[in-house]
Amino acid sequence: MATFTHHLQGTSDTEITDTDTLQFAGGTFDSRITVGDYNDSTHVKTDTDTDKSSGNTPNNNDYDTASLPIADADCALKINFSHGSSVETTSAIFYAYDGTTTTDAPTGMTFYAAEGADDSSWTNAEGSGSALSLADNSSAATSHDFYIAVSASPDSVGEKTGNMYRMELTYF
Amino acid sequence: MTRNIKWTVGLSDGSNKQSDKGEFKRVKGELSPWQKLLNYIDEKGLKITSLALFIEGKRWNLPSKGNQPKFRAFDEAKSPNSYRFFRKMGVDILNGKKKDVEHYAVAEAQYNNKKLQIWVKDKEPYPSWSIVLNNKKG
Repeated sequence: MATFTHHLQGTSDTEITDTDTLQFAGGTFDSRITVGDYNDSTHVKTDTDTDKSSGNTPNNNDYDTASLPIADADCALKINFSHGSSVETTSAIFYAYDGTTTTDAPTGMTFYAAEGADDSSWTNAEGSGSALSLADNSSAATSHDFYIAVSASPDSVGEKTGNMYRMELTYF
Repeated sequence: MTRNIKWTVGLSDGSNKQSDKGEFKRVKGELSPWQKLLNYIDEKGLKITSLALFIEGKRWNLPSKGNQPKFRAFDEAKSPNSYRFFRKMGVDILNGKKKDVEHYAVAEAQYNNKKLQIWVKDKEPYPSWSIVLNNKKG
């Protein structure tokens, strides 16, 4: 069985489980980002509104200030793909969309992503047509990690809900 | 409930092989059945001449040089140059929460400039789609 596991990296990883929220914030947990600015901190928030990642010094990737390429260990997101059998992965992509139509950009926000040590520039990964392409894993294994720097900025005042990010890959 | 759609291939020596059977069984930690098949045909110098997906009495065939209906359309149809099998997985994350995880089995017939893919969702009742793509795209 194939599974994806999502982590916010830091001094220790914080797993983002099905009931948690990945939070882009201002300088501190639960703080707002000014319109046009990018996240100054990234957190994992539980369904009881607590800061799950507080003890792990979570990584943050700021589109305005980050110097690329970003080392794998310094990326905010680590997505692990695991499978019972040893498989290769190809054609992996990652992008944000409005939560309804995969070709449409997320609503009310700007989103950038880059793949760890492999990318020397950001991808404005909004909609499937602009997805960030992730490197192939051409050596078969039961576990493959993807390191992704992510950064977001609100285009207007107010909470942004309904947008999603999506990851797809091929394995065999 | 997610199942596991299997593949069956015809090989250029006239034999048929299928996943999760005999030497192509799925064993935890070992190469996947398709990886085992790729190694097998490489060692034996064989080619894949047909590819189909199947599960629970349902079967999805790609065009082939093997057994097919007698209608003229099948005589005139172009045979694929090669075949490929893979699985696709996609996950949507809403505000950090997993919203939907999809698993598909894909059988692909490759032609000079195009490829025909049959996608079967690995979940009952196994809905399927066919698409034609330019060969350069993954």
